[in-house]
Amino acid sequence: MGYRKNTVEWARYKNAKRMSRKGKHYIPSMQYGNFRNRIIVKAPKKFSLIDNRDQVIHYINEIFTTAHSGLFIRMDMSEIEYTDPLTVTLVMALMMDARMESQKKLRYIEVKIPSKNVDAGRTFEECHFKDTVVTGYANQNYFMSRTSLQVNQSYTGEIIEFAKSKGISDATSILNPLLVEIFSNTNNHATLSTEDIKLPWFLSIVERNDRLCFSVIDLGIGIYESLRSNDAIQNIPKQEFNVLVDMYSNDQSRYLSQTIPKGVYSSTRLNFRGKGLKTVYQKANSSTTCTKFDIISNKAMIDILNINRVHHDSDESFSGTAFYWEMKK
Amino acid sequence: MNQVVISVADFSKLPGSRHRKDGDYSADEFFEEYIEKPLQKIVNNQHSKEHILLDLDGTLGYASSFVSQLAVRILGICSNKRKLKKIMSIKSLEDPSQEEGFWNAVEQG
Repeated sequence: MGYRKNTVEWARYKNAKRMSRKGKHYIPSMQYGNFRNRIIVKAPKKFSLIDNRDQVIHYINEIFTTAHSGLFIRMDMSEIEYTDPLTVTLVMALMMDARMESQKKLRYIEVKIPSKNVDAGRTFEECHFKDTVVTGYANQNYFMSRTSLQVNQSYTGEIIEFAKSKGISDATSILNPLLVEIFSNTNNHATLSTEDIKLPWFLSIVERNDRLCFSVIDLGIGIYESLRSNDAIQNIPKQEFNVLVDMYSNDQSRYLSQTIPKGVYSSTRLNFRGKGLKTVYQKANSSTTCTKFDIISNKAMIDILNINRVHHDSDESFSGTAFYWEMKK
Repeated sequence: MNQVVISVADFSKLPGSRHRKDGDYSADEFFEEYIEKPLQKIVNNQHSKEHILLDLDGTLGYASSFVSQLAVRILGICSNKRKLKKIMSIKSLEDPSQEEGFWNAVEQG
């Protein structure tokens, strides 16, 4: 190996080699590592998954790639000028996932957030970023954040009560179907069907002026990747399949905008299955308080309340699914 | 004709998803605890004059998977669709699309 003797990389290589001789996997520890040696990755100034999707997805992918190569990394968000609740929730979800056994490598990520005196810092504060990430406890009651691996109806009940108490008039008719569909989506499609692990969803609700902003994130494979690996897709007529594949690679936003209102292909090949996102679409559009509803997954961004408005596909693919919606009090 | 009323609201105001493994208050759980026995009894007795009214009202709304899974499980006991329509009816005044969704899933199931 070409490491210079007595450098951190050399020490890490020697440790890995020493451990492998004992049949153990070497995991670098922050305790013994060189803190000055961590890689600092600066976040884009406009740190918004909705308004600056390309750069934010590139940034998140860079973080994942570096973390998975086992290097200590700092997400430096101290200089960002603008962010939104969805993007802060994304960072929170990433930090919460880092505590999972299956996501061991994410453990070596640390964050530097903007100061309270700037707008972006206040958004982090509104989202109770520190309380959640520092305590490592995602189910906070004094605002509303929840995380689970399943459809958790006690959480759904609490979320509905919270929204109702804040004056959302159709909370009791809209939120149960919406949340169950979104949680089921993570439960059933965030990982490949061949994999056993379950990934969590992470929800946070932020109160902003006259509305509640809901963000639900999972860091799974995403809607498009889930559909692409879907057995039903492989068995449709060849011509139709080619059109879909072409749209998949070049036009995911258009494909999903066209497909969601009708229901997507289900891996079960049953016509009455695959209606989860269709229900999300119908419920959001029938709501009298819902003013914004976006889904971001892989390269696609779908405007659920204005489905004919087709967004461009992002340059890079976001591995995960983000639901963001606002409800007016 | 005797009518057996089975209400989802008695099971939960917050019906969940499809399978027990998906989480709380799933369609499978509801089916096994509330529908399976009375339906089996009616189907097994050719002279039964009982009828099941499945009441979907009184909850905080349904995910599509809950209602379609109910249809799938019910078909597992009574695969004769014509007979099923005779022995079972759905009440869904609050959201008529659920009744439609149920019978669609039965037709396609």
